[in-house]
Amino acid sequence: VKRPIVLPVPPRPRVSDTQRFMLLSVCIGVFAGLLVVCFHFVIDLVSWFTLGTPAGAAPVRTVLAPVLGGGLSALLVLLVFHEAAGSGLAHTKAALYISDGYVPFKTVVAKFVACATAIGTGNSLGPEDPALQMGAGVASWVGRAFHLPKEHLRLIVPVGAAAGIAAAFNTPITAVLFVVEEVIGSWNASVLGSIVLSAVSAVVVGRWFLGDQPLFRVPAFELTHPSELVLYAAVGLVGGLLGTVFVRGLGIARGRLMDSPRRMRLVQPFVAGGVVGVVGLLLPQVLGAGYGSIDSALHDEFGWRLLAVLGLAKMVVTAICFAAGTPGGMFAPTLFIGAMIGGSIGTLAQLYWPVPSSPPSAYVLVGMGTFFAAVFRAPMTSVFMVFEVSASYVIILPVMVANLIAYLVARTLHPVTFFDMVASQDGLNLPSHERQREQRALRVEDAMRDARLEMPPQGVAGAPPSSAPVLYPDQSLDSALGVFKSHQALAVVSRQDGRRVLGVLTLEDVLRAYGIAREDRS
Amino acid sequence: VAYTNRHLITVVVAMLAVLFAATVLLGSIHQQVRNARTESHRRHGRTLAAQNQLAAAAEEYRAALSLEPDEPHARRALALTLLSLDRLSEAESYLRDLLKEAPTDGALHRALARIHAARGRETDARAAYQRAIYGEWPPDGTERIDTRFELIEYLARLNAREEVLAELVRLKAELPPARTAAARRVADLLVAAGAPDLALDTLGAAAMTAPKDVELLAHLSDVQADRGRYDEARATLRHALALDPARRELAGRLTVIDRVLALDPTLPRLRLVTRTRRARLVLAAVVEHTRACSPDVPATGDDARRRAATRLRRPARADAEAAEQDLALAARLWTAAPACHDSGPEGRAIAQVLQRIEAASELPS
Repeated sequence: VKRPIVLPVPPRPRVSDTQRFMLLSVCIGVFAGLLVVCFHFVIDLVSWFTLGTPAGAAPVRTVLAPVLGGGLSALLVLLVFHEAAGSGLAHTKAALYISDGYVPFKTVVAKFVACATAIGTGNSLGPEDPALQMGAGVASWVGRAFHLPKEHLRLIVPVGAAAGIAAAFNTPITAVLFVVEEVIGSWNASVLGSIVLSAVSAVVVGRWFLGDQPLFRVPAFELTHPSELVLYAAVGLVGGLLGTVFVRGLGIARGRLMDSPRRMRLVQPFVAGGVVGVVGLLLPQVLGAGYGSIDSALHDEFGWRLLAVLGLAKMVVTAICFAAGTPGGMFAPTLFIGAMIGGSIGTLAQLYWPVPSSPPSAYVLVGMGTFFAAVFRAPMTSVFMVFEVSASYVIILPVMVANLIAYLVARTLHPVTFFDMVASQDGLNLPSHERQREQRALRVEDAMRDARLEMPPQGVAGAPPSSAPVLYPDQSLDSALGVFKSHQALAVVSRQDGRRVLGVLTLEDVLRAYGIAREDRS
Repeated sequence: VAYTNRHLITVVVAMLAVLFAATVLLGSIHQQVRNARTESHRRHGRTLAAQNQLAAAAEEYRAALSLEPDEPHARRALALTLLSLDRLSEAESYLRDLLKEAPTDGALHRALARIHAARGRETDARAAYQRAIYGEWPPDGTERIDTRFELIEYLARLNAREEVLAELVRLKAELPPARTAAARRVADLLVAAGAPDLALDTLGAAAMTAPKDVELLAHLSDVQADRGRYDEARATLRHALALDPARRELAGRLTVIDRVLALDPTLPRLRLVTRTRRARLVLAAVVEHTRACSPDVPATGDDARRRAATRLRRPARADAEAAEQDLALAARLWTAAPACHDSGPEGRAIAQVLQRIEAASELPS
């Protein structure tokens, strides 16, 4: 009798926590991508069946659809799903910084239903911010399902947010940058890889279903004359000013409406929908997210007066919708407003600028970025977003100039960012990443004493002994603290010549630099 | 660690599969609705465009594109409709967009060339027309030839005679033999551009391939007559008349040619006697014809008529000087009676003869 041959069983490959996190990021990306694609389909179908095609062609529908859609979706949010009200980004940040990465799954469902109804019926809001929150919600749900530890659960929320916004915009770089600039606020290496993976997965899914074209078809153009940069700077200036006016006005309106009695709060979205409907009768372009109208503006369909009127009208109706509590995001309307204002300036430039200028479509693109930079104060995101949605590299130089100006103007005139303002109105105490970015980290050279003036501490005379730890002048004080351990003082040496002592740093010096006096410590 | 649990992974994968299926289903519904509405708008747009309601047609095409921004037919139709509506800027934007996807499309380049031409961008217009001519067209080649004609007309408006001729020569070379109407048009343009011999070549070649095309033969005979080849013109016209004897205007033209051949003193290889006799015949014909068609000529004409009557009573001599005097008198009388210049075959024949005499006298001796 032959004995069966028993082969040795190979050991199961061990998957590290980091690898598991990465795999989950891909899974979240696919999940969020599919959800956002469905969201996109549902918004379109709701729009076609309520407003008809083209939107605004049937007057009764144009007025009634936003009233009923906006009102009912807002009631759903205000009465049943409170977590889905307001800004998706603020709630995502709240999940990250306050509730340890917890986003209830019902928020995803509510956001999907309410925002698809509101936006599809023509209310002047966009689908990207809800997509971001849905992505975060999916990530949180997956993380909880897999019982991720608390620190991983917190980190997985921005991973989902990146997937959501990447799928909504079809822009992976923009999504990563936005999440870094606005959600986590730093280039955190431990989560960056996962954010990129989820964004890429979501975009792949999105492109599978929706096609791989950029969001806008941009006609070819080039920077015709260097003097045109003055015009682009003007676009930046106007974008910055109007962005500030928009955020201020929205803040005042939202604050007042939120202070009104609860019964009034329930009526406001219906009234906002009515305003949108009436404006939509005259200017159907302002209905919904408005991407079609941006495409029309890119193809010179509108004159400068109509462009300016559309930009201003969209500012008003968007502010009314958002302030009234109609569910939806601000990204698409912001792009619309910027595009119209930029296009208006570009069309005027073509008529009156003394040297040949680029076609208005170039200004439409640049305008989009400036208003985005002024409202959301995410300068890097605004530059890359324009680049990605247009797939046009030529535009990058004017966009950088204009966006920087818009950003600086808006920051000077209104120190509080849009998201910080909304979070504050919603009663959420969240960190301001803009302020964090502006804070300068203290370095060793800011606290050290000059070696020539001080008595050399133990082991610092001449060259430090090879066993003693040393500091470098450009090192952050935070990292220096970790080096001290049992040492009272450490030598600060040159990076160029490790034997050359530049100064001495004591624990006392570090505390002084942080503004903590000995008395305070005691 | 709980997240290695196989059941959990199975549940997540199952949920992904369900979501995928739901997305596919939703996508399919989305596509069906979108396609139906897009097609409806496009069809409506075509109908409106056919009824020349171009603004409404453009709105329909826009509605189609708002549903399906990549729909190439609607984009193309919109671009061309906008061009017809003279909304050049918008049309140009769409055309450039379309050309990125179809860089060899002849119709798109031709539309862009029209925009350049309308905006006075001559170099761009020329280049765009050339790209259109060498672009892709339906296989019958009609559009390509029409585009070349359009370029020629554009160049003619710019008074670029050399370029017009160059384009006409190219067109002549690439013209299919069966397109006799185009050959006639090319011949006319060649005549207008000052290349009548090339026009004769073109028509001659076309007549070889279409020997029964009466229109073409009539056209050929006209050009032959214009070039002074009356014998050939007469033969061509006789051939045409034999093919279609009912064409009375051809018979009229033949009468004119016969009469020119009988009168013309400048025809080559005529002896002095014959030339003198013909000069006298021309004078007699002018006197006779002007008396019939314009009895009350002005004073100068009346004086010329009296002198002509006197000369006609004298016998004709084989004298070049006398012949020239006869012809000068005939020309003077003819100029005084402009109403007779296009009055019937006789009038046309006399006019042609006198033109030829004038042209011959201007030639350097």
